[in-house]
Amino acid sequence: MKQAYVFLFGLLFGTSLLHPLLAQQKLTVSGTVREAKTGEALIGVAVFCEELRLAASTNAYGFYSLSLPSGNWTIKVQYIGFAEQSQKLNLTKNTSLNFEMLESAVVMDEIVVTDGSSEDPVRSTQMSTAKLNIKEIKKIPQLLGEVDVIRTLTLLPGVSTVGEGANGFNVRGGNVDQNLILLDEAPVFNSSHLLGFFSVFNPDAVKDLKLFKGGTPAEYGGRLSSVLDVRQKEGNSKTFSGRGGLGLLSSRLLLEAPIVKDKLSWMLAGRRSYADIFLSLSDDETLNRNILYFYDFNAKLNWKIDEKNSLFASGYYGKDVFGINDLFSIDWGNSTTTLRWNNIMSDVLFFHLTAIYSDYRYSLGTPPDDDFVFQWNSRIQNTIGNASLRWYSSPNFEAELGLSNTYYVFDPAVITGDISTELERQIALEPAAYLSIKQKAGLRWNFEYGLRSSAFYRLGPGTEEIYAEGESREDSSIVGSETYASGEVIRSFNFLEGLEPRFTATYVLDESQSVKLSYQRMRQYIHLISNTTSPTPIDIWRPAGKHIDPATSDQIALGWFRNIEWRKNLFEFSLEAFYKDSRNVLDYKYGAELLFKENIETELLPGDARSYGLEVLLRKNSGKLTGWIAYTLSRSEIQVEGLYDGETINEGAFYPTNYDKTHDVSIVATYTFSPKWDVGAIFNFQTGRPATYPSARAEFETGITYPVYNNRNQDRIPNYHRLDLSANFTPKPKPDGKWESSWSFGIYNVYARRNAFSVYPRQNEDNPQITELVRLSVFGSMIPSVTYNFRF
Amino acid sequence: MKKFDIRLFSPALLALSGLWLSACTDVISVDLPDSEPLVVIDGRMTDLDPVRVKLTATANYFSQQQTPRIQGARVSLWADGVELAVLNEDSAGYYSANVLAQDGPNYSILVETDESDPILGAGVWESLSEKLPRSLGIDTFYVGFLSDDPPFMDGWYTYLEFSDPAGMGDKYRLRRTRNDSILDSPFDLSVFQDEFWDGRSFNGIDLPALRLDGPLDSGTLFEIELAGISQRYFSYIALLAEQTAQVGGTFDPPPAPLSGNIRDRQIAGKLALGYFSVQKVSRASAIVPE
Repeated sequence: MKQAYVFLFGLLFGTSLLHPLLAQQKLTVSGTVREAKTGEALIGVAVFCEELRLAASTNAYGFYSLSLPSGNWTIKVQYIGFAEQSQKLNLTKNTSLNFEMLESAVVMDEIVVTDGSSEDPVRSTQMSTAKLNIKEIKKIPQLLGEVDVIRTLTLLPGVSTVGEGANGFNVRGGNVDQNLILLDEAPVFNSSHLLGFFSVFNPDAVKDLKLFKGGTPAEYGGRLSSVLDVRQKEGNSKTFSGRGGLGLLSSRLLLEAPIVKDKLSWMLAGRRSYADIFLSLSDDETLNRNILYFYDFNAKLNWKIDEKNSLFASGYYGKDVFGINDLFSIDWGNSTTTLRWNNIMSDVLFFHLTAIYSDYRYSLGTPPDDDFVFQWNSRIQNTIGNASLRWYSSPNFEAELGLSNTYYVFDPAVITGDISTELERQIALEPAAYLSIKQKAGLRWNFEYGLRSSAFYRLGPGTEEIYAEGESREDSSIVGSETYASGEVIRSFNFLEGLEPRFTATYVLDESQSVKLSYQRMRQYIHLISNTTSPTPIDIWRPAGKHIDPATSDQIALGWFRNIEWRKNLFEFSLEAFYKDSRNVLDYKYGAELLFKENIETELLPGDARSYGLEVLLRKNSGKLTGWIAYTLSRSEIQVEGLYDGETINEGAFYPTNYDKTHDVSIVATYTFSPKWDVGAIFNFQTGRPATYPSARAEFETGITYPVYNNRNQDRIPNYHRLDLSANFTPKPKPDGKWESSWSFGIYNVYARRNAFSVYPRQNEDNPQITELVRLSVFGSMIPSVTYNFRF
Repeated sequence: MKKFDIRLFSPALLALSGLWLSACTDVISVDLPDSEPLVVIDGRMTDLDPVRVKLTATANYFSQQQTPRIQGARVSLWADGVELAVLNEDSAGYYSANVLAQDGPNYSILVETDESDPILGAGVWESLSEKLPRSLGIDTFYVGFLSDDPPFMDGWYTYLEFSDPAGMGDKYRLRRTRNDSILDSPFDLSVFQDEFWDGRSFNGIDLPALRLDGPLDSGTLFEIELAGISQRYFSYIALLAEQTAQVGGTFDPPPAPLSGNIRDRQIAGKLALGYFSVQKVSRASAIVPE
């Protein structure tokens, strides 16, 4: 059977790549690494043979495969926060070896010897990635005590937002819609709750997350700037357990248990905010009828059918609801479902098949019993099928071949009630195939390279406008329309146009340092249509089609990675420079009307974008003092050079994007005084984001004075800086050890700085002759918080 | 009975922005460079009133006084390329001519200043042409008492009934006057279009009457003007409203130059501000009972 696989892969990859396999007949040690207490698979655990200094790491499902010659070997597993384990092995045949790791009570000041594991930043084939340890971020200060993975990500180099409370995040100068956010492989279209203040990810339900800013593996595609891969917990397969918390803003609870021990387990988590409950207690009638809350649920079922097969079913459902009195309400939310089958075909082949459904919808309108009923619904649905086969040829060679197909259904607006109308449904298909290879060449060179090829088909039914040749696309230049039947291709972009090469090379200078170079091309076929400072929950997505081209970006990054040992402490240091060039990113005509616009192309201006910068990270992951210092020096610009009057911005020159921040510094630290007490601090400094100040003022009719603008984004709002502090108290667990609790105290914005979200012009309300510039601060004072956390 | 509120047509973004504007704000000091004055031409022609044009110039943003008036200019009205009239300067910067808009012609204006003008110097500006749009006008405008309909307070409200002609693309501007004072803050700018209710009637039978203002004090004289306007003017007023009343918040659009339909005839591409609009107007008034 193995020969058949070799033959198959020989055909697929070419004979030149078979060399690692043919070099020497080897045996395989493979298995899974799990957490001993819960049975949860551990991702990225270093598994290595001590004598041969050969290493592998576990994949997203805890699986590893290590090829070794026959002999007596010591296999070790190492993972930060867990006690190291080793196992002596007399390897005479292919062997299955599973590990169950115990959490360390205290994270020791130890040097982790990973010897080339994919998680070792020096030797791994990846660069431009950001990882967060959920346990670690629970210790650092958080706004209103709500642990937020995305806000924490913005404290890492290359990740930022336009301001406090803004929806989404920006990676290496890319727009918010250029991030592919995956929850158990399902795309999430809106990553924020409460209009942008909090992310949709319940920290208790998150097992692992990784952000790719560059050097993205070929398995990922569909967005230009980044991939945020979030994995949910699988459910405790050993015993019933739970955890949760009571905070000022929301409360949360997670329960997990086995149905059949070590075989079948489940996890269920939920959160709900309760600002609306307090609002209803107000005597003020204008307040007590308002509603504003969110809730979300995470669920997962994990069935280990046998040693070779496992099934996962996971889901997420979240919603935000915002209503003003009985006038109208808006609600929005994501829901995702993932079904995955993992099959260990052999000791060296790992196969998976996934079916995914993702749905983002919003609705707004009047109450259903109103005299005038108006309901607006919008929705985007994705149905995705993924399959991949990963081949662990040797510790020096891994390959993955994959296929995916995404079926999109966009319903931009369906209006019902006393008025009934809708925008056309839009349907599209995005097939893709990829080949991704990890290869080590000698002791110094590590490579990860691959090719992704995607296509895109905009399908009927539909009607597309025809515009006069040589004229700007406007309603007035429509000369006809073309109608397409159901399933008819309106426009296609083929696999050759959608070639996306990916390449990362690592050269190990010595045991503690390496340099890396990466290149990636990314392609994006769907665009978020949003012309506001931060996207709103009711913005719509539109696919590429007759009049809208897909966006493409090329990014090159160069980095120096070094592990520094100082007084028995290990520090990770990285320095990365990047340059990213993007085409067909969208900007908007002045005064663009985006709401309920069928032929949206009349409002769009395709442009080119570029961003470049330098990112520095110094990180300490173990010991009493942990944390990082991050610094980003960058520039993000866009150029819109239209062909017609009114289609050019800033005379066609590059201008800074809304999220361009020259300097961004974050210092994050936690210190563990004792098992009972630890403290945390965050300091953040950012250059003020670009702004457009008026150059003059003019009068309209009798009473309105309006600002006159020259070029866009040539000014900046004041610089931003903030200090947050926290303290966590964990009482000694009761003798039975079943109930553990902790208290988190925090202060956000300790010195109460009124950081500007924006600076905007305003006519004085009392004296219309006076015009002024106004600073809007989201938080003008310090914000204390307290949260009670528990687990059992 | 609860009536349909016109503000529901733009509910979402305004609501979300409103939430943000409840965050704290303060006035700050920023150094802005001086700017060269630009012409601002604000003209209006209707089927009921003499054509009027206001000529001003831009001023430094922090000048904190009335913007300069352009006096002594030659302002002429044109129809289909033929000069119809030269407007008289009634007062500093205000020009008018007793000509009413009629169905059919393409109207435009031409503004000329000479070298003696202390603010602009010599210049020639013209507007793009506009035709008189269609509008069926106001059916009924009345005051009604609203009670027990939270969150609206009990009291007298104004209601507008009107019908839209069949065929998509009609645009309207609403202007309101309370006790002879025009409501002219940025938040009073109101334009709407028929994309959701083409050919239908806000007559209380087909669709509810539009509830406009309230609660109003007894004795208040409330006047309303409903004007049919062009697509371009609709976009101009919508952008003006956006740039003056919907700014600064996270869900607000970026600053944008307010480009109307005025062009500098001598220097191609040079910014000229303002709009000459042709409108079909209909007016009505109501008094709140004692």
